[in-house]
Amino acid sequence: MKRYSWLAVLIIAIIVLVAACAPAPTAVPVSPTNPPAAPQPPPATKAPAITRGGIMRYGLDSDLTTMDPHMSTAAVDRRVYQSIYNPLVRLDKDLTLKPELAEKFEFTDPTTLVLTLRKGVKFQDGTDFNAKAVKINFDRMLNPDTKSPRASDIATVKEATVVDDYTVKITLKNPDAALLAQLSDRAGMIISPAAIDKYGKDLARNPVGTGPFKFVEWVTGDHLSVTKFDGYWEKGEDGQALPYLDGVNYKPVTDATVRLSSLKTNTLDFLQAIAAKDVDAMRKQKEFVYSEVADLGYQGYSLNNKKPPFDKLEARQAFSMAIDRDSLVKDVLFGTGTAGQGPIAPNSWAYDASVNLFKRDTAAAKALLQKAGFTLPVKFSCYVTNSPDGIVFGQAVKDQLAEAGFQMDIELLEFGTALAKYNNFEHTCFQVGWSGRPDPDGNTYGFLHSKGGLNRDQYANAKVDEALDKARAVYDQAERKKLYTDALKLAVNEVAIVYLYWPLNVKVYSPRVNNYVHVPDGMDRFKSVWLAKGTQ
Amino acid sequence: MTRYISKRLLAMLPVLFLVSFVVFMLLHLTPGDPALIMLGEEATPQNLAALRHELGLDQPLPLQFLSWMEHIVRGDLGRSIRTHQQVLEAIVERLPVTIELTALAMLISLFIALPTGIISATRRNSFLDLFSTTGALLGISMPNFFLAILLIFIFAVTLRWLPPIGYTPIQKDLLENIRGMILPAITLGAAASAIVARLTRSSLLEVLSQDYVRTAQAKGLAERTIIYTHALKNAMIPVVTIIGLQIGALIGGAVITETIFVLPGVGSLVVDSIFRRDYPLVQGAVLFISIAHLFVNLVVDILYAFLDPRIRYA
Repeated sequence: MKRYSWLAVLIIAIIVLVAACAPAPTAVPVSPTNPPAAPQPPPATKAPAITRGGIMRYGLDSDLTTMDPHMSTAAVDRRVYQSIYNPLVRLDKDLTLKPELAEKFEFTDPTTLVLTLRKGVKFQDGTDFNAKAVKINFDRMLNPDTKSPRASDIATVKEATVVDDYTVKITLKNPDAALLAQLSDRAGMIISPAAIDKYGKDLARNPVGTGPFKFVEWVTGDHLSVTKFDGYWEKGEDGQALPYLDGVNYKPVTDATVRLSSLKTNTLDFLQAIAAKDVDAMRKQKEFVYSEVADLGYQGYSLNNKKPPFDKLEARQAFSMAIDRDSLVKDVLFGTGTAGQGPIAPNSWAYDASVNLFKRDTAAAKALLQKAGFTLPVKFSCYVTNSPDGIVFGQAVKDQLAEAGFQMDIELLEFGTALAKYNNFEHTCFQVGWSGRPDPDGNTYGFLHSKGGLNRDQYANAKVDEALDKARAVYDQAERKKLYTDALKLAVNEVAIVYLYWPLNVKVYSPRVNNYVHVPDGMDRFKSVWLAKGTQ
Repeated sequence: MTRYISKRLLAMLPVLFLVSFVVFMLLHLTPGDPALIMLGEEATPQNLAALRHELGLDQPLPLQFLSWMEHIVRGDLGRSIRTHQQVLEAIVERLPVTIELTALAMLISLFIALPTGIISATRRNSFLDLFSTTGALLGISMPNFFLAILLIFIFAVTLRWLPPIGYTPIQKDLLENIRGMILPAITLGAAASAIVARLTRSSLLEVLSQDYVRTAQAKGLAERTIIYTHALKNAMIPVVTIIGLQIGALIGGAVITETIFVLPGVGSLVVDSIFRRDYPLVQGAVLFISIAHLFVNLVVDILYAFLDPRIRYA
């Protein structure tokens, strides 16, 4: 043994030596102006002295796919777009729409939207931002050759015309009250026309927008970095151009445990999301800022209305009755959601509590199934995507359904596979959600209208169609709210989809991060965020 | 020898063809539509059909395969359907990370395995032997994703000695590079070290019981001389084989390790591309891994001749 003990000593010595060369152990330092905040809500922006500089290290939950917003489908990409691009209109934290690249937006008649553009804005490549640039962007999305997934967001747009250098007229095929909200997201993000010409498809890796940060490099799977754009148009509280930060380094860390460890070890400053299992602990701790807001989306079960057993209304209603939504939210999701029914979350102006129609009643659910001629247990198979949180949730639902006379077999599928099957209407049941859109139309029309592009459950009710069509054609909010409530009372009662809860959007970040505004769409905008000095 | 090597290289061609064919078929038979994943749920059927046409996915499978092979022969691995990056460029960009990780993992595993194997063979049935065989069993049994999280918890979160994630290129900062590589390399090397240690032990035990060793002992040679000069070299032949196989396994194991530790290597490229059904990237990367495997095997075969002069290749 003695002979080899030097080996063990050597190994330990090497590890200790390399470790000792590390920066001193990094207990997360706290700026004197901003003591560790209580877990929620995020700290009020009282801190007087804004510090400029520093790189924000941001943990994404998956790798990025494309930096071309018109070609994007992955939510993860949208987080980076907030730095590189500006949308025409901005979604505020109270879900109202505010001017961004369009200083003014007005429907002069139900099918004409006039956008008055901001002057003095430049793209990061030096190109001027003007009406022509906006038209080129609209034309690009609408051109079938582009095959833009965002074309569906602006499907009602007939054409965009240049009125003068800073005025664009958008002519619609038919009235669309939801269009403005779409322009706060990818469809409204304006890309440099010079970059569109120069890069073509390679724009996916060479983005150029008008946003506060310009693209530096993207090493797939490792990081994407952006740096401060010196010519940015917006001014900060100190009277100088935004942004306050020198840059942002986006890092994909797919494993939720590793992501959280990276925050704890000061390797990252800001996490896009954390796992449900970690929520409780993060709420209780004082070392980091924990922030949660109601999200725009919903989660539930998609039941194929044309396939047994859910081609029968009674089976769908029994499913909805079998679920104890409160218990799922409390026990499985650790309170990271609000139990309820319907696609419109309580934070929306269109929300109406009267659409919460079903209460848990397993005896009534069983009776309903038997009355409809089913032999208990009613067996069916349900797609569940293969993620730790998804599996736990699916098992809890399975148990609750068993008490009401169902036998749900969980079919674990990787997301790409499930999506392909779902798109071909192969599913009987699919545990799925929707990330949500700021306008209620984005959470309803596609799924509940018989001609909706996302209606994979093949639900059809002429009255629902009529109400949803009307809600697109009127611009008065109160009137629209009534129409959505009418439509949802029918759709929730007929269980077009089993709505279970509205998720909360959770962020955890270092107390050095100041001035962060948590918007319900869950996108992180860093133009006016600053980092307290002292680490990295 | 040159003839032998050229023969072996030629024999690689059918193997590579078969591997390519199997990977291609498995990938295309897996449910999941790249066009749908790219365009998302909101895509119109027309857009989906147009994209499938553009990607050539509407062609019959054998035609798609032949077209891919035709490009390969011309040295063109194609472009990623997601990021439009050249596949070869994407692989080459990530190669240094995987090579460094695999090499360090192999180094760590040999550093642990050879002394452990030798000690437990020469001190058979002692406490040390029991300790190292138990350790080896644990190393083989423990899944590397679990070991990874355990190491992160101990060395990054609790002790804060090493970073939990990330990669710094060697040319940028050598020390940071090594600090970032220690945990992934230990994670990846653990199972390999356990296997090599066990094999070293049994192989050495077998050699130590042979007549020529007894003769050496009878001649009164020092134990050290017997083990290192006479026994170890002969015991190394099966060990070299397994080391060769382990290098192949390490390249495969890097897939999980790289994903957990966020290392931009070929392994994490494969995982990501599979989830996105980025066919050209997966096919290109797997082809590359297969070539690496075959080369390692060839090198191992050549090494035999040096270890045992009785082995001759004609």
